[in-house]
This record gives sequence, structure tokens and C-alpha cells, in this order.
Amino acid sequence: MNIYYILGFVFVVWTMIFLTRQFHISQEIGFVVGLLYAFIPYHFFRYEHIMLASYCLIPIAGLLLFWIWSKKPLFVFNKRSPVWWAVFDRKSWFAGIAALLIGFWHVYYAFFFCIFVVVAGVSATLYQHSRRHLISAFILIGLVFTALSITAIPTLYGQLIQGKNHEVARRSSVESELYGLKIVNILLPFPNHRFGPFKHLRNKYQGSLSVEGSVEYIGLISSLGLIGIISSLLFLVKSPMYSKFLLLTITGILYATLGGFSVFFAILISPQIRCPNRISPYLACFALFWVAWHLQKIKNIIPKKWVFYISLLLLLIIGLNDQIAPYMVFRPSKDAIDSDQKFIQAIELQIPNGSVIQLPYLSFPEVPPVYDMTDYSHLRGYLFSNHLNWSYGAFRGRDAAKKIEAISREPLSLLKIREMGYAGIYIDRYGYANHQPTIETQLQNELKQKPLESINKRFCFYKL
Amino acid sequence: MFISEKSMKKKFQHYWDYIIAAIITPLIWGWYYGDHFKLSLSYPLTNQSDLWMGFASIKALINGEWSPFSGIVLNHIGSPFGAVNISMDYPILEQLQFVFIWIIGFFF
Repeated sequence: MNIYYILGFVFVVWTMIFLTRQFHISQEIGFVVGLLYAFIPYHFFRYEHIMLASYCLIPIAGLLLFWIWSKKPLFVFNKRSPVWWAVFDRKSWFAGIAALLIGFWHVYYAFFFCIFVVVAGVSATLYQHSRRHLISAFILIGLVFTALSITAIPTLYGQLIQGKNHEVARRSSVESELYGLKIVNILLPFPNHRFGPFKHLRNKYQGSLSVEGSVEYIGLISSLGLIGIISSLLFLVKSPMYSKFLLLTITGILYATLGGFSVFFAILISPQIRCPNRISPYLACFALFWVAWHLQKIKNIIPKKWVFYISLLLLLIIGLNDQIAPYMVFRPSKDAIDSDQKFIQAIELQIPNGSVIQLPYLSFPEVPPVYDMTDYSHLRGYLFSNHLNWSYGAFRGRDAAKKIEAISREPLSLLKIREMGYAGIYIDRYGYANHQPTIETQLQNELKQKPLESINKRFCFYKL
Repeated sequence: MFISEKSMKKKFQHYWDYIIAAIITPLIWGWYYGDHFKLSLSYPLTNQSDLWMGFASIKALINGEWSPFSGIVLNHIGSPFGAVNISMDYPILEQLQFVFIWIIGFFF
């Protein structure tokens, strides 16, 4: 899984290079900008949401957005084509397949793509005086929705045969604001930045409202790009390319910002897409693409190319050191991993193929921490074992969860627990006040045994 | 058929950025965080809650407890009430990423 995460960085560089190449930006510039885009802090801070951390299709989405404004619209039907696949040109085929991939990849990025497509489609229609541009935009959206509908088949099927679970994935429109984008969060460096003044600047800011992605810093170079795009308003720039950058960036900000249009979407249509702050890699992509665009202009006019290449290298070094902190989100501890692994393996030796009840009872999914035990912590059992069966994981709102919750209530009835088929009791002490579960006294009295403990004493196990 | 040195050179000139990126990116990674990831390539390296869910889904996927149309079915949780089909109650829509990870799983 960590391999997939690391490979994600390479994919991002590749797609960013691909985007810049389509606009005749030189390979060196594409390479540098691609690396900077792959290493934006978002990539590290989203390690927790590993699927979201994989934003490699965003540059491709950006390419399609710019194509919407092309003179010749996408998906124009060629009636005189000699073969069936030539009814559309290569660009349209690419755009169609890419739109499907975006839909299959991640719902958030697909959704934001659709927002941008609507705006770009309307703008292209007005700019090119052609309705076909709007039609091509809606075809793109249709393809994204087709892909999303296919990926939702298991969920739709589940709802059909067992009814909708009203206690899971319940969202409210307030959350759209709670998880909104704060401009300050994307422009201010993270608290442990290498450069003292930047670190100091961040620590001076105390947000009054804590939102998801409070550290969404997009990096110094991207920030300059973002400011550059917005400041083109000051010069009343009439260049179409500048207007496209500006329109896409402003759309992203207006939609995602706290109290922005995302709240209207949540109120009027659906509150399910509740984290508009996740649009920040799109903004970083536009900003870095804008930087690349300008670097190419500089390269074209600079007489001594070696000066340019050295400056480009410096830009990369500064950018990477700005974006990667000495410590990001990873808090690896070999001891903790070893301790967990050995503990679970020891249980597996005691009750191979057995069933284990996990305490304290933790509802599944999406619950706040119970003392020091975070959500999904009980999944350690599943992750480190091969054949054991674990009580955690039955969906809230279903009968199974209700039965497991009932049997987990204190004082425990060991008889009932045995009757349900459990062969042991696993306790995460972090889930109790002061890491001292009172339930252990009962277990030690009744079972007359010392528990099996993890090396770090966090977990213990009683065989029944 | 031999590929001439000239044509190889030409191809490299055309694709060097992709090739070098594939080499340089993991090296940059290693430079900054290599020590951390040496610990484990299979388990979460933080205690962030949602990560456990992500890793559990991937384990299910690699164990063959996933298919694009049935979704993710974790056979060893929710005991003793049988397998839990996560996708049925909770929309998990990153199917293409699962396909990628499933493929990567063959190599590691």
C-alpha cells in the first residue's frame, strides 16, 4: 500500500509533464514543474486519505478544461469518416477516455472537474459563439457521471437488497462550511517549515475556525503562481490564455471557499460532497501550469540558456525544500509496529481461526475518538492477522452491530460471549479513561488468568 | 530488427523527462523520508484514523475479497455475523484505483 502511495508521486510528475507538453512548454520546465506538483504538501498531509492523495489525473483534467475552449469543439461528429472509430478525432477520443477515467478515479476530483467543465463550457460557448462547445462540455460531464454510476453499482445493489442504511454516511449542509477552503491555509506555510521566518509567520496565525485541511499549503512557487493569476485582473489582461487561468482559479475559489457556492450546492442539491477544501490540488495545478507558461516565455527571450537552466535548478531546489518539511505526517515507530504485529500473531497462535470480541465497543464507521483510541483503531486486528475473525466492523444501523454492541456492555456476560462464538476478548486500553479499563478486574476475577499483553502494554487479550 | 543507436538517442531525447522522473522522484522521496518507509511497506506509518480503513480495504483487495461489481467484502470483520460488504452500506467509488493497487499487489 505504501508502494502505491510512493508510485503516486511518479504518476503525478508524468501527468504534469504531459500537460505542459501539450502546450509546447519545454521538457525541462515540465519536468521541474511536475516534480514541484508531485511534492505539494497536500500529497503528504493526505497520506491519511490514501485514495485522495492520488491526484495524478488532475493535470489531465486541466488539459481537458483548456481543450474545451479550442476553436474546434470536442466530439464533433464526422459523418464522412471511412471507419467507425474515425467519427471523432483523436483528441475527442482521448478526452472521452480521460473523462471516464476521472469518473472512475475519485469522486471528489470528478465532481470538481464537472464544476470547472460547466463554467469552461459556458465561457467557451460565449467566446467561440458556438453551442457545440456547450454540448461537448456536457458530453464530458455525461461520461464522468457514467463512470461514477458504474462505480456505485455495489452501493446501489446493497441499497436495493438490504435497504438504505440511514445511520451511515449521513451528511449535513453545515459540513460544507466546516470543511471549506480557507485561502490563508493554502498560502501560509506549515508550522514546522524549514525556513524560520515562514515558520514564525504560520505560528502567528491562529484560525478562529478549525477546518479540515488546516494545513493545505500549496508551496511557495504555486502560491506565487496563484497570486500571479489573480493579479492579472489588475492589468486588465485581455489574453485568452490569462482569462482561462483566471476563470478556472476564481471558479475554484468561489466554489470551495468558506461560505462559498459549495454551501448552496449542499443545501439545494446534496450535502454528500462535503469537503470543498479538497479542491486545492486543482488550484495548485493551475498555478504551477501558469508558472510553467511564464517560464517558457522567459526561456524564449533569454539569450544565455545556461543562466536559465541554473535558475530552473535553483527554483526546483528552493521549491522542494519549501514544500517538504523535516517532518510531515509520518510518525513511524518500529517499536509500535512490532508490538502490534507480535501481539496479534500471539493471539493467532492461541486461537487459530477463532473469533475475537473487541472492547471497548466502537461503532463503525466514522466516529470520534474514544479517549485516546482513534476511529478504526480496531482494524489493527484484521490487518495484522490472517485467519482470525474480529467483532469490529459490523455496520452501525444493522442488526449485527446492535447485537455486538449489546453483548459488549459492562458488566460482561462471559457466558453469552462464549455462546456467540467468541474465543477471546481483545482490549484496547487507550479506549478507556487513564488507559485503565475497569472491566479487566472482572475478567481477571472470573477467568483467573493473566492477560496476554502487547509489548507496549496498550493491548491485552483474555482467552475464553 | 536492430534499433539503431541514433534512433535510441532520438527516443531518449523525446522521453527523457518521463524516464528521469521515474528515477528521480523515488530518490527525492528516499532523500527525505526513506528511513521512515524502510520500516514497513505494508502497514500505516501514522496513527491517523482513516488510514487504518484504507489499509484494511487494500488488504481485502489483495486477498481477493474485492471485485468491481460486488465491492469490498471483508470476510474477517463483524464476526460472528459473516462477511461485511463495506461498499453496500458506504459508497466507495475509487474502483479504478483499486484495480491499480490490485495489479501492484501481484508484484509485491
